[in-house]
Amino acid sequence: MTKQNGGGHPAWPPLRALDRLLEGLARITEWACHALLLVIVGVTVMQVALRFLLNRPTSWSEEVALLCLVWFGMLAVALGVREHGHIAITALRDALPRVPALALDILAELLVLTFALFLMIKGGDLVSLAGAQILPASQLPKLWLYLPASVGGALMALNALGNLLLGRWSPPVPEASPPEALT
Amino acid sequence: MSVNDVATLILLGGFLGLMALRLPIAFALGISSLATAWYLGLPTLMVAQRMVNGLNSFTFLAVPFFILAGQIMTEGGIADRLVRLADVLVGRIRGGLAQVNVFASTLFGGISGSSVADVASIGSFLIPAMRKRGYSPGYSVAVTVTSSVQGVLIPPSQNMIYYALAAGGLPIGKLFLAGYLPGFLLSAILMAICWIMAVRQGHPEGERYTLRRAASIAVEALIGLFTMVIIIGGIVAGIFTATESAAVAVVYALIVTFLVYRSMDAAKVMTVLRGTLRTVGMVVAIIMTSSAFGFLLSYLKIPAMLTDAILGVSSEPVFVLLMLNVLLLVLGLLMDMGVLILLVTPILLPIATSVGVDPIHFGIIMMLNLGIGLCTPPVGTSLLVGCAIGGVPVERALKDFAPFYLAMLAVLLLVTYLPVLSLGLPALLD
Repeated sequence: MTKQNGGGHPAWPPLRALDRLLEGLARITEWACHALLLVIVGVTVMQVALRFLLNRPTSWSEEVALLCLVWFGMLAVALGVREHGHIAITALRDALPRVPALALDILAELLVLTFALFLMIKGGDLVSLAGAQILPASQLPKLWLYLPASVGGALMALNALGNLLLGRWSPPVPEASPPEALT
Repeated sequence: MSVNDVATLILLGGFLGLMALRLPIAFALGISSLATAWYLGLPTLMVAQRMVNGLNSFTFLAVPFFILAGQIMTEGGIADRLVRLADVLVGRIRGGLAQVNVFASTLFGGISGSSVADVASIGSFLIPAMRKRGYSPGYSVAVTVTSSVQGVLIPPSQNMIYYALAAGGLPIGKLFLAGYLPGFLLSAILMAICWIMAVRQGHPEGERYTLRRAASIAVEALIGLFTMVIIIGGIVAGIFTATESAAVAVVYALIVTFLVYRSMDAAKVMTVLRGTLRTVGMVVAIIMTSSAFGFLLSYLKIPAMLTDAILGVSSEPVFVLLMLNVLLLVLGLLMDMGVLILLVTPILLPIATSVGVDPIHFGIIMMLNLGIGLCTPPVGTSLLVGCAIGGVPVERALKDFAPFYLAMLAVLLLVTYLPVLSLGLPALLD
């Protein structure tokens, strides 16, 4: 479920609409990710099964699993932007008084937005430059490899913009429950 | 200053500065790489392409699978069963529950690569149980947290995959095998300390089990532990790639938790999927941008310069390794493990190999150093989670950590200066 961090739901209708839109997008993104993960597992298991049971190794399955992984990854990063899920070092910010701390939060969100826009645009360039090339094993166009950079970048930008406009500038206060960490 | 000096300053200074300003680390890496590429007049398109390529790796594909399999088993109640198996096997030793804690963490390390998951799941059974039996809260937390380092040492461990990726491709099977002996050594030393503390503080023994009950506990736990056999056995025997074995383990974990343990349901599957998505999202962001960052690091020849600088001070392997250990310990105090592995491997590995250290050996040294960092303030996630579960303030728990910190440092020195501990098992594969 998507966590709301501060701010609650806005009353002003345009912002409310934006809030709803982004929440809907986050739901769709999340389900798309779950589906992609299941496809990745399924394709890889199938690859093993075909090789062992039918002695018919597949060449395309690795590429397809990887394409799904790139999509999954880009969408997951975009969700992380919305939920302030990306690891950051907040020691300095936490030591500051409220106003400069908020200024840092807003600066961080603006930089995330900038980088997301870069990724969206350059992802688009990659698609137009190399999108027509064919991946060797699956014969799929490289469009499917580079498009997620663009789509993910766009979603990251939308989420960062939403956080800025909806006043969700700060990471959520840590809960008592154990955080999910890289390790 | 030459162009490259300024570029180095932009890359490293920009990254550190943005990170200090609380920009998420992944984005600090991305923006400093972008600025550097732009300054050097390299096509910025390359930064985006490096990001996609960093993710487009069959080895990395194993990471979501390991995380998913670990989450399924954790959510499906493996911890409970491993704790009971450990109780049957080592509960009768003096300091029973502390011994069980260390032993169960060692087993759990073979299911999940996450120290934090180890603390959260084993700890939530054993910390309250230990307190009930008269162990002090701080001691209970200390045993739980320090033994959780097994999560990164005992394979499978996604952290080792990050290392293999950052090192530019190492055989995963060998890296995995290399973790066993250091992990067992850590267990043995921790259990010895628990025994000494038990004698000194009068900790109780565990209870006896009837043979029949012991057997049924063992069967249940071993069915779960078979996940590890699939992964490690499959890779080592060359039947599967690391990625395939992890995918098969996911399916096996689903079958066990749904059909054998009967502890899975739709709600838990959703928890697992969400947890995996969140964790993988964080990793992916850093994998992508650190791939661009790493490219610029080597474009500017920063690792080579640093290697020369260090070898200028001394090229004595004993000394260089000591310096690397101190550096890794300090970094581990300050930053999260996975991020550090991806960031510092391209820089430090060349230094280690230049004095003749095997990359696999150095990987284990790094795991142990950064694993210790998980147990130390201010950012040790395992420590913080353990203290939260035990309801003990960090400052108070730390008193009880002293003997365990010393033990971990002792293991670190042994692993650093006795390469055979890491390289002995993998050598059997050749």
